[in-house]
Amino acid sequence: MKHDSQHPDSHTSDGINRRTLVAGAAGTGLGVAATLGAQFATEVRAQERAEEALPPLQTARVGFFGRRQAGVDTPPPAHASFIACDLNEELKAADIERLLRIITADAAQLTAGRAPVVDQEPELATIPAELTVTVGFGEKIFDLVNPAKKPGWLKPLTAFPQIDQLQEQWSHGDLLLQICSQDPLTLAHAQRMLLKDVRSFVTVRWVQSGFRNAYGSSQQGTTQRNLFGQVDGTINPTSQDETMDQFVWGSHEDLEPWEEGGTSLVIRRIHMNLDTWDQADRPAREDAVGRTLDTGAPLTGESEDDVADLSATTELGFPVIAPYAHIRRATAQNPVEHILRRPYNYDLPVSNASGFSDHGQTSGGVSNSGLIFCSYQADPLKQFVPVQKRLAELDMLNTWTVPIGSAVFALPAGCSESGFIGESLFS
Amino acid sequence: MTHHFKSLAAVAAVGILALTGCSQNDSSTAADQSDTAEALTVENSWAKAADSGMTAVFGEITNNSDQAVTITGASSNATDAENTQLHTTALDASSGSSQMKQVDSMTIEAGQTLTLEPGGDHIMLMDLTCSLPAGIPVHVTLETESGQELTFDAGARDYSGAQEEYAPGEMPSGGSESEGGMDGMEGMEHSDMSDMPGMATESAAALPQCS
Repeated sequence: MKHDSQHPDSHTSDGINRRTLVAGAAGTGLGVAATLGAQFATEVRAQERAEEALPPLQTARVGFFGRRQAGVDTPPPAHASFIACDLNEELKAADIERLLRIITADAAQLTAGRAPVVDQEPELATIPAELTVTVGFGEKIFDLVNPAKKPGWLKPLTAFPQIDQLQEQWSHGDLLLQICSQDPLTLAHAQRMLLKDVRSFVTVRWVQSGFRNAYGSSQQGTTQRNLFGQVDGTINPTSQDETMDQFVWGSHEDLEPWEEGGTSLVIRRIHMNLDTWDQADRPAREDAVGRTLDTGAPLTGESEDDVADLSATTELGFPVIAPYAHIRRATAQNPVEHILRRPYNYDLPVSNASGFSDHGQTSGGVSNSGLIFCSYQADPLKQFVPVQKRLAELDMLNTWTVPIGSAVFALPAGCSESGFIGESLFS
Repeated sequence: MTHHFKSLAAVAAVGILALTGCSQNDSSTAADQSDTAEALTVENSWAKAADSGMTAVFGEITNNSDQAVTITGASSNATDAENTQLHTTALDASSGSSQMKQVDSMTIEAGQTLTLEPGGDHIMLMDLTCSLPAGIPVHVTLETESGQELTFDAGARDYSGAQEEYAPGEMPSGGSESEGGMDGMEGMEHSDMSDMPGMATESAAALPQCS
């Protein structure tokens, strides 16, 4: 079967203009309906066989419309761009509605592998490659349109002074566009199209671009690695059971989404100091996290999925998983402290670069690498902040990482074909 | 005798679909195809956003009937009737440049689609009486030789192309997106615009938004 929508609520557009085929049949009278039904089915099968012969990403669409936005529980594709924008000063609610209608129209087209109506390079829009476009709101949109709907958690995170070196240039934002795709050219074109869409309404505040494994590199479901070489993202809510619904979409009894079908995104840019990481040998690296590097299994287990035994001790009585180990510090202390981590690596070019970077520095050396840490949860205050607080207080991994950016966005619900993203603020 | 080819809601929906994210490749309502002799449908319509001055409307007009249909005029809510014009592009053989000029009619053969697009045929809106910022529709009505009308919405969109006269590397001469004013240009050949410096709306107060 062709590689098609992975969005649970998607409205699949599979490239067959069914309405055209039906129209052709309907015009010739009821008496031959049965024959035409068979003919229609034959044509559908022929189209599907033709599509199966195409390279897979040419038919890999993630449906845009639905009760939830795509790009959250969608399996993360190889490339992502996160674009934060600042609204122009003079914008009113009516202007924001115009903006959101335009974004919605073009996102729906691009993700279906079709060129938006004003696309000047339509040939660049034809390979969907699992493109998703996800919109997020900062405080200002609520303040301008509907202050009553603003979630209480929608503000900058509390400071974590033990670890933060936050830079304004990577923090905050009034409007977020999250664009993901398996194909970097598809992504670049969608990004260009959407930037042109927003240009008369906003200034672009920051763009964070990142990557994961290429399509076809790993078996589906393999946890990817970060640039420290660590298996990154083992314990995560999943759509295979109810945990995604509970913790991301807020169906857990102790959680409530800010609106049905909505969620939140905390996006923190984490600088990774690869030079000081090099000073740590393999045993020290594994001790800092509590997992082996080869399989990602906890030090107390055999395979990645084994539950860590935090009470296990060595012969000498020391805990196998150290008190300062990352996975111990990150362990949920109450039923709702579960977050969906969907990060992307970054590795920016450096110029005039040589030498080494020291502990605590966020520049220097020959690399500029890190993690665009993305965490999705129904309530960041209940789910994300307590975990981050524990890690800020003690986590050996802090030795080699520095948060240099932080932003929180409310992700609105999805929409139907006659609506637009964020419409609930306007009713 | 005038009758509308399809309900305004269905026709307008084709244009409004462009704003609200519906599939823009939907053939408008095959189910609506009536037995009327003439049936025009419009898809993928849009207008170049403009604060004032002139702008253009584009889209694909399909003649679903079995006879040629001739469009003889247009009107809109964005400007006066005489300032809503049918325009085509002609190559000036002596200069090698493209020039836009008004035409009296456009004929669409049976089963054919007329594509109005930047650099080609389009509906010109001169001397706007209201502003068309990106994201709102302009309501356009086409009139045919036989007296029938087709009304559709074209969503305004920011667009850098569709310059009235384009020469790579030179300052644009046509009304650009958020700058204004080529007021009072009726009767002028578009090619004359290239002599005009880029005009700002110094004297004109901001127009109200089209509605």
